[in-house]
Amino acid sequence: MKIFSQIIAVFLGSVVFFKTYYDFRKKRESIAMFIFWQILWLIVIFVALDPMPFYELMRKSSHYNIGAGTFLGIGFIFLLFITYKLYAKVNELEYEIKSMVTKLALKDFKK
Amino acid sequence: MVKHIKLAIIIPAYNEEKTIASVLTCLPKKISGVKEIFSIVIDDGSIDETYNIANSISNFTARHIINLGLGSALETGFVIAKKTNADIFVTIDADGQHNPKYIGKLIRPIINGEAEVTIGTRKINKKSMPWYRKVGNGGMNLFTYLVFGKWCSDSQSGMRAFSKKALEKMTLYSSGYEISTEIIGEVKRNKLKMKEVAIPAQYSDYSLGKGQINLNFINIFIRILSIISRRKT
Repeated sequence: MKIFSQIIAVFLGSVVFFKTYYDFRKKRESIAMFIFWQILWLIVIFVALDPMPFYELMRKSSHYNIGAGTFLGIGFIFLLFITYKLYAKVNELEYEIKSMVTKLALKDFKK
Repeated sequence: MVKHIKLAIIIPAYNEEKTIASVLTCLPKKISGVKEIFSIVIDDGSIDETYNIANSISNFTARHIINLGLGSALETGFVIAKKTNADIFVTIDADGQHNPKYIGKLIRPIINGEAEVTIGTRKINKKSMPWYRKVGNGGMNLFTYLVFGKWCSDSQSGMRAFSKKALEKMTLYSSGYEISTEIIGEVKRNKLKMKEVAIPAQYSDYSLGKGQINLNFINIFIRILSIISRRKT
């Protein structure tokens, strides 16, 4: 199971790594965002490959005895919320783009 | 019954430079009981010559600057058709899948007041339809029935006709292929009289390559759920 999660983390991390690099090269991504995503996903990959320092950090820093499982559970709920927010935003943008494109088509249509 | 009927034929097109000219030139020039026939092509962000070809043949042409999807193209077509004061609205695909000769047969129940919406169901020459298409269409028919409670034996057919009154009652939100399912849902919601008219299944390698793939079912399912939730809020 552990090796499986490690493979997934490395695979997804590599996808994000190359995609952000490609976007950065094409000047579609700012240097700040490029560095942010690189660091974030490097942390994810390192934690997946060797989770012990992460568990140790959790144990030392937690005053309420929160385990790594609880921490990941909270993280999962937070990610679901982020996913919903992104879905709502994409829907809103899609609606706005559709209205704009339709208006332009109606303005320019030829007899 | 409407006198001096005006018929608008709406053709959404996306990268159909190979077929759009033949579809437009094959449109009927005269239909008994119809005074005026005109075509409206909506180029949905094509990157080929579709727009220029359509513009030189069609009565009306509009262009989306980016590809929005079938539902959005039809919506734009309906808006233009309403502006032209059309009485009956027909939609057909631009890939040559529908035989325009059957438009007269398709609108006859509307002219006679027997229906407000007609769906061209691909029943004639059904053997030419590949098995995976039959399975896909069957699945979508069942899905449409389960979601909206209205049975249509070819819910995904792109050849349809609407009376002006029917179209005014319908509120469509779809931007993609899910429009076909949503139309059946709107027929049910507005208690419109719908009739199925048998048309031939006319498949070529070209139209098979252009049509929606069965995997689109998942996408359509999610979008239809989103549309239902939008209607309820």
